[in-house]
This record gives sequence, structure tokens and C-alpha cells, in this order.
Amino acid sequence: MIFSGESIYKSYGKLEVLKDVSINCKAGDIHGLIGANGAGKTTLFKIFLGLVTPDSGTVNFFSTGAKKAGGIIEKPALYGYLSASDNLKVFAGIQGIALQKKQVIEALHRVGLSQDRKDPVSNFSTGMKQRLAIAIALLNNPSCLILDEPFSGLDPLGIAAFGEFILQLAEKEGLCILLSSHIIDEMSRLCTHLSVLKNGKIIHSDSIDKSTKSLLKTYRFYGPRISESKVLKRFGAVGERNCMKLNIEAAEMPQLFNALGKEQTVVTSMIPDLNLDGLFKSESK
Amino acid sequence: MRALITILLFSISLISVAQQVAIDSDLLQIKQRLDSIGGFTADMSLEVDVNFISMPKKTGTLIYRKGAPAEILTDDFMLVPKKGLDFTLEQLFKYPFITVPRGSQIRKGDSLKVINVIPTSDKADFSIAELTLNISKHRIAQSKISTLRDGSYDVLFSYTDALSLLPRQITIQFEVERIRIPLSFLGQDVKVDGKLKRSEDLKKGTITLDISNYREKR
Amino acid sequence: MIALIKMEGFRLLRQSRTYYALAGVLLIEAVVLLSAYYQGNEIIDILLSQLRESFYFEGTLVNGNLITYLILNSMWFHLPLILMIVVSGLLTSEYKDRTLLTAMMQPVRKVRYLLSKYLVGILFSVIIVLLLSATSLGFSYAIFGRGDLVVLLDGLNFYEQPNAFLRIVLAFAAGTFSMVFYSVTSLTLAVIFKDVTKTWIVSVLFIVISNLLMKIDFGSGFLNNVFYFKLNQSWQFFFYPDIPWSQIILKTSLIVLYTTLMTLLGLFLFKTKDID
Repeated sequence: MIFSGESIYKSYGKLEVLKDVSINCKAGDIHGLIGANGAGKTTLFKIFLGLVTPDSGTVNFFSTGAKKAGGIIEKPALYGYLSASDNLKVFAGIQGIALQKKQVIEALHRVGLSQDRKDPVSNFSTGMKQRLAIAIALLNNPSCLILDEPFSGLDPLGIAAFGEFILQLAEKEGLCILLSSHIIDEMSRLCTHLSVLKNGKIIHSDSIDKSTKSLLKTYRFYGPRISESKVLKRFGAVGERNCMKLNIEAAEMPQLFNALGKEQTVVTSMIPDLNLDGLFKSESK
Repeated sequence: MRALITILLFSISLISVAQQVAIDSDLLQIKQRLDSIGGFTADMSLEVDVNFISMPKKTGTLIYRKGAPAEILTDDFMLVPKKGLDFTLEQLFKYPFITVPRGSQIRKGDSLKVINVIPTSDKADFSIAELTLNISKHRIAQSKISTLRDGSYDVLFSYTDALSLLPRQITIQFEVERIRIPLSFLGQDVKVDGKLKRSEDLKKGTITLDISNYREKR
Repeated sequence: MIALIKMEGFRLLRQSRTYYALAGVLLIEAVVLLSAYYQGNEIIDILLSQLRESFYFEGTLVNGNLITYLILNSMWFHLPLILMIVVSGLLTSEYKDRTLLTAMMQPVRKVRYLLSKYLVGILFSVIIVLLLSATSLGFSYAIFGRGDLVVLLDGLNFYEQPNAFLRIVLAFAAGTFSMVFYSVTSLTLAVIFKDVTKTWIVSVLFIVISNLLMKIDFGSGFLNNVFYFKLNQSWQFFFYPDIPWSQIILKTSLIVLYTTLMTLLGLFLFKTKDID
């Protein structure tokens, strides 16, 4: 166990933002947290990162090392008038590390940034800022990374690349990662565990396999003139042009694929949709 | 006709005699000594003792030329008294005057005679002057002059030795109106509008000049 | 702690607003220098007009010392404005850019982090006053030369060159304590208000109200000595003929106490507040 947050409560005046929230994370785990806007995700992450004090509950990091966790809260917050190297040096200096030039280069390369750019960070794209923010979060080798909406503002390629990077950090470097996002397919691809936060309470928390099994019933089928497929319509798919949406149990899949094969319908991709309604109706934990 | 001329001549001679009699002889003697001073330079220090002025002692060079006002040369800022630097009392004797004896005294073994000098010409810039003459040493000990425009001032002369004609110290006492300015000399709210409040009190001020190292100026 | 101070100083020097502030101080100084020159002549004329009845004036009083003295007079209102904007910006900019979040996610104690800002703010204030004193004396002497300084404080006081220079330097030194107090206060206000504009408004109000209160006579010697706004005129004591050292030491000690209390207040509030 690297990180444990137990029975976290937080109120702002009469508004209860978090009620009895508990999340644990092991080394190599990517624990996803999803919830509607205002559910309390950011507040929870701020509590984990020590920025906000909970009314009650405990937050424990079980690793040794000066820096227990690194993080990004919402958008990356950097000194726009400084270069990437200077930002790294400043944030390293704040925690008492005097970064040498070689270490700066290594830190930038780790997140896929070039050492050659000397211009202020305000000129960087969102993706590059995100990478730099990660590099800063990784300074001083934390064992845990807490990322609040890390994909926001990134284009699809950027999202994919960032996702790969997070996977690498977890699988190859053994970091425990907590992340929140609204991008369900990335979450279902990356995460080992999934928790759902609704109105300050955790209403679902399980491994990704069990979560998707219970919640994943909708798929989107893409292909040229796929809307003309009689098989899909027979199974209850709805849609038009190149996309059809179908609610189907996993057990019915083989039958569907056989029928599509006989019909010779071309399917270019099939993307799962986590049933958000199901998620928020589900009370399982 | 002849009688008239005789009377006229007699009157003129009478007036001349009277004129000669109206000026004190000791004063004339001292005046003669003072007239012999053509000019000089000297080292001087000036100290201002006025109730509302705090100023350190200043040094400079005093330059005197007969017929011209005394000059002071200095690198510093100096308040130079307008009156009291008339070493040879030239301004007193510039226009016709009469003298009136006021008595005598002994001070520190010296015989002193006090006389009033009264100008008889409208051109004179003083109304009356009281001179204290040191008869023993033939020099001026003290003067009290009431000017027409610049108020009154007293001058006390101190000398190095019995033979000195030029003083080693001059002390000038005069009346000064205290400055009261209702605005703050503090930059941020100074409004230079020229309005001054004047105090009713007149303060006495003293200037002390110490003079040394007289050098004759030709 | 040294590393924190270095980083704070580094960021301060890399921000353009620091240089705008420096330029602003120098520009204000130049304007005050010009106006002091013209004002100086008139002031001297008025001050000495009555003395003209009894004296001639040899030498000039409109010299570098007088000009610097007039600059001294006016800077104690303008300078705190600029200092408060720059020093409060050490924190308000972090709130605005959210870099405070990133900083607080690093293993650094909140109190140490904010204390480094206070120390850099104090250092910046001292450097600005040093710069102001050096440039005002330098330019004033270069343009107007040296000479006696005349000051109207319970009468006309004349000070010769070395003495005048020393008094002016000591006055700048005394004024530095006041400037440090204002800077520290602005940072504490930044802790309370967080927002850039709100902090500026409150800081300006603080200066204006302090200046107004300074002019009120509270009647009691104790109150006149203890309130912080009464302590900011210590620099003037150096222009009395007999410098009241005990009063200066007392007032300076009190302003150091107020500065310390203001710092502690800011640190306490920052420590107890969430970074939200």
C-alpha cells in the first residue's frame, strides 16, 4: 500500500462536500475517480495533496522519501514568464534541490520535452505545459502521483500520448497514480481501479474489470454504411450514417459477430461506452 | 553797505566757530586715526546667536576698502550682518553732523566718553548714534546706532592690545522679528503662497565676529 | 531557507513589473527633484525674507542637500505605494497564476515558504531605499553642488556639509524601517485578500489613512508615541539641532515590533488557511 485516505469528511459552511470518502492505492495501480462536476473530486485531491485540511479522516502515505506525492490540480500552474528549465529549477529549489543542468535535461526528456526551448512557458501549448507540470510533479521522486483532470485541453493525440506516459509511470516505475477525468474510454483503458463520486460520497469502487463488467453494456460500432446493417437493427442498435449504438450483454457478443460476418458488414471499430446512468444509479461498492 | 558786509562776515565766522565747537575733539582725533586706514584683509569667524536660528560658526575672509562696504568671502553659506561692519564709521561721518556730550565713565581702567552724534543733513541714513569713545586708547569702544530704515543696532568693539586700532572682536546686537510660517517645510504639502504670519515679539539677536590676521591692502 | 530566498529573489528579478517599479521610483524622484529645485528657491526666499532686513546672504542654500531633503520629504508617501504593489505581488501573483498550488504540493513548509517572501520583500525595500538615497544624493550633488542645509524645525537650523550629509543618510536609514513596515503589511494584506486588485486597494487605503492619522494630535504623549502611524516620522528627528536619540531608538524599536507582529500575523493566517 502506498497511499490511503480513510473516512474523509469536508464541509464548507453548511455544504457537505465530502462524506466518508475512502480511497486506497498500491504501487503500480492507476486508480480512476469519476464524477459529475461539483461532485467533490478536486476537493478530495487537494486534501490528499495537503492543500486543504479535512474536517476529519486520515491521509497516509506509506513511502519513505521527502516527497510523498506529486500532483496537478486542474490546469497546470507554471511561472509563465520563466522557461521550462527555470520552472524546474525554481520548483526544485523550493524543496531544497539544486538541479544541475544534466538533471534538468533528464527531467525534461522524461516527459518528452526538448531542452532546446528557452522561451517562456507562456508560449507553450497545453500539452507541453501538461508535460512540464508532470515533470515538476515528479521532482524529488514521489511514490504517488495525483492528477486532477490531466487530459483537459489536450487533443486526441495528446490524450493518447499522455495516457501512454501515465501507463509507463505506473507499470515501469511502480508509481501509484490517482487520476480523475470525464474521458471514460481513456479511464477504462488506463485504470486498474475505478471509483465513482456522487454528491461527496463514493457510490462505486472496484477493479476496472468488475466495474466495466457491471457497467459496460453499450458499444458504438463504426463502419461505412453501418446504419444499413439489418443485423445490428435486429439486435436493437440505433444510429445513423457511420455509427450505430447498441446495448448488449457480453454473453451475446459471439452471436452478434457471427451474424455480422454472415451479413458481411464492415466494422472498422467498436468502442465501449461506460453506462453513465448506470454508474450514478449503482449503489454497489 | 560796509556795515552789512561786516555783519555778514562776522556771522559766517561765528557759524564756523560754532561748527568747530559742535564736533567733539576726541571724536575728531579718533576719526583721523580711522581715516588713515586705507584697506585690509583679515581672517574672520562669524557666530550667529538668534533665538530661532541654529547655525554653526562660519569662517571667511573679510575685505575692507576705504569708501566701499566691507566684503566677506566664504565657501559656506553665511548670514552677513548689514550693519556693524563699518569699521571706520564712515557712514556716520559721511554727512554733516554735530555731537552732544553725554557723560563719561571708567571701564576696566580706561577713560570712556559717551557722545551723541546727530546728523544735520537729510541724506544721512541714521537718526542718532551714541558712541562710547576710549579716550585713553583713542578708539571706539561701543556704538549704538538708530538707522532710519534698518532699525537699531549696538556694536561692541574688543581689541587685542592697547595700541590696536582695528578690533579683534565685534559684537553686533540688533532686533529681529521671529519668523513664523504656517506652512510645513516638508515638501509634500508646501504651498508657496507667500503668506507669512508675523510674530508680535521682536527678538534680540547677536552676531559675533572674531577677526584676526589683519593684512594691509593697498 | 537560503534556497527559498534565492528562488524568490530569482523570480522577483525575472518579472518585468519589478523593473517597472524601479523605473517608477526613479521617474518620481526625477520629477520631485525638478519641482524641489523650483520650490526650493521660493521656499528659501520666504524663509529668509525677514532676515533680509538684517542680513546679506553669502552663498546659496539651494544646493544638493536642500534638494535631497525635499526629495526625502515627498518620497515617504510615494515610495510605500510602489513597494506595497511589488511586495504584495510576491503572493497575489501566485494566487492569480495558481503557482501557489504547485509550490505547496512540493515538500516545503507553508510558514517557511511565506517567510522567504517576507524576507525578500524586506530586502527589496531596503535596496530600493538605498537606490533612492544614492541616486538622489548623487544627482543632487552633481547638479546643485554641496552647501549648507537649512531646515525649519522649531526655528531655522543650518547644517554644514558633512553634518548635513550624515543627517540625510541617517534620515534615509530611519525611513527604511517605515518602508519595511509598509512592505510587510502589504504581504500580510495579500495573505488576507489574495486577489491582486483588492490587495492594492486596501494597501493604498492603508497608506492614505496612515498619513491622515499621522497628522492628528491625540493629546496623550503615550498615544502619540505608540500608534504605528506616529512612528513613521522618525526621520525628521535627525534634523533637530540636538538629535533626540532616545526618541529615535524608541520609535524605531516600536516600528520593528509592529513589523514583527505584522509578519507573525501573516504567517499565522497563511498557515491556518487552506490553499484553495
